[in-house]
Amino acid sequence: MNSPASFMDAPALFSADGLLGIIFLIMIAVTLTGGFIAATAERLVRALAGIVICFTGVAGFYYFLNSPFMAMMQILIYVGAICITISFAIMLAAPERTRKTGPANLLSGPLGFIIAALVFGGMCALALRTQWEPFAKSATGTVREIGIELLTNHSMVFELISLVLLIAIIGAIVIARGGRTG
Amino acid sequence: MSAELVLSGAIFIGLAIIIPIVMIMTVMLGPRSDSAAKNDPYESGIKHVVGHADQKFSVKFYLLAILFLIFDIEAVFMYPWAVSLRELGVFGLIEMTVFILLLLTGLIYILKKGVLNWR
Amino acid sequence: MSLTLLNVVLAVFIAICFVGANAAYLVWCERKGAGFYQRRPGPMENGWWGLLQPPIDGVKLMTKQLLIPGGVDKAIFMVAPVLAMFPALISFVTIPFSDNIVAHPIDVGVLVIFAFAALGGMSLLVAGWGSRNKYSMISSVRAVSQTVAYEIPLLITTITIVMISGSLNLGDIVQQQLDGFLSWNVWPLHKEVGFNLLMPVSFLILFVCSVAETNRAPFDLGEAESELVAGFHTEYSSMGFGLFFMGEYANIVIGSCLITILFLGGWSCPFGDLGIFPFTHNVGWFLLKIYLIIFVFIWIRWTFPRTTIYGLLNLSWKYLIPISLFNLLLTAGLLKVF
Repeated sequence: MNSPASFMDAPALFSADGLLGIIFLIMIAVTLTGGFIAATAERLVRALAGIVICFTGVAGFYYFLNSPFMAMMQILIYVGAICITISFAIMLAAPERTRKTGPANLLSGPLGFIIAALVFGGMCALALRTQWEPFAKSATGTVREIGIELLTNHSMVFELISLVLLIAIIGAIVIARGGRTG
Repeated sequence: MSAELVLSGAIFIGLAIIIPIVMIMTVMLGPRSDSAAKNDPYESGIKHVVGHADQKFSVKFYLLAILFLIFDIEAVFMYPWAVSLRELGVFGLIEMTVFILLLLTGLIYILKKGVLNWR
Repeated sequence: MSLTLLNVVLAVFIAICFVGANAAYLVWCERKGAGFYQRRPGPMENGWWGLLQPPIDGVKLMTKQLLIPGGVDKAIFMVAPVLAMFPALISFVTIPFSDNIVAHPIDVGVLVIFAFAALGGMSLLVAGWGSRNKYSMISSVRAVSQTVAYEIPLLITTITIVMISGSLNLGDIVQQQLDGFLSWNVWPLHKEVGFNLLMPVSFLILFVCSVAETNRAPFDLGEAESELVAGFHTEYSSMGFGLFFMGEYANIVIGSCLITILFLGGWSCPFGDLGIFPFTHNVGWFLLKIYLIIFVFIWIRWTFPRTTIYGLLNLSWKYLIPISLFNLLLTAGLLKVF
């Protein structure tokens, strides 16, 4: 394991690296705030807005992890498509009259907290044990490299994606038309 | 590299601060008067609001959103291929043709099922 | 790249000023254009030919009351206009106006524009939901399903350009079109492919999609005045409305920038670099091209009648998407064959 970095090694606040750290912290704050809003909001609309904020923060992470392509994908697909799909799903059932007040069960009670704590602890343990590599060293992540990897070494996966998407189309239609007679 | 990241981060955060300020300024500059009629939803001058804002929408809009999601993901997967088109050669083209034809099948299925037949 | 706080502030400041000035004066252009096509003078009172109208309108908007209707979710209501303006400004940061006038060139520039356009689509939805008004609601659902439908052919058609240039960087895409107007991507003639008849098809699809993406007539179903009052911003007054309006015009400028960069050679002089001032590759050509395209947008708006929502969605899903997919495959095939 690396020796823990001391504050003496930390970059000066107004150097590029120091500012980068501040922006990174802001991104963390944005993501956490979004997640918190999404989890606690009573109105579905606000929960959705929280998810949007959260996803935008995650996109920021990708950007700072030297993968702008993934960052843009995050915004394009998660914010631009998935959130819109969720919102249209909410609109199927008059949103403001159906509030998010399910019956309290074990999962929303203590058990939920325990599971969350376990996941959090596991992630922390993982983060502390990993040998972190500074992001500038990992060169993979340009669009060209992703493309070459995707269509040579992972071509099977790539074709399976299209199958999965096709099944998703069929599934959506089957579910949407399920109750229809004639 | 990190300088560029700082620049883009700063632009992002700067804009995220400046635009809300415009909204706050408007609230501060504008007059603040209030009345029951002002608070009603706009209804082209009719006194009683007809209908409700929370109406249910057709499932077709939802289906279109799902379709959009699928095609969006598809288009996104094409970008890495397009950038590395020259390196990938004919094999890549065949792979992509299969990929696109599968999704086109899905689109044709949707059209045949009449999702886009509006009444 | 040297980084000072001043550079950052300057870049953001210039982007905002450019967008603000454009939004303000494009409204004037729009009104003058409308007047021209309807045989009336348009705004004439304030300043010479009504040129002082936009700043006066701006002041008026700023000093009006921002009306928040009763019972709305205030946070959501206030966020929507900000969300409409913010992505448009971000996109400007990555657009190259010339080979050295670009605030922040990002390697995936094309995707930045699309990603933030998608984020802008969220603002329509948030506005509709925040307003608690049935017209806003219907309009936002219409507008979102429209932007959503036209985003796909837009994304797919852009891939044809990406294939030809092999880059997602907007600056690189322009760099390959610098040898006079025959090297522009819009022409069927192309260095590598020889005679690529598919490029005009791509151009046409991209043009139609960007008109639809900006919610403009004949595709302005989101704000059909005669049916939905003013659409998703019915309940917004003062600068709330102002921000939506500016966001809309900023999106128009971005759309025309995108068309110019992808197909019309960006900042390149149509005659190649002749070495004498106006005929070198410079920012003037870029501005000339984008304003020409904006003029065409205005021209289209005041010439064609509005379509129906069904016709609009069908056009995209039944025609544009399959055509753009085939167009993509054929272009890829051409690039491989030659």
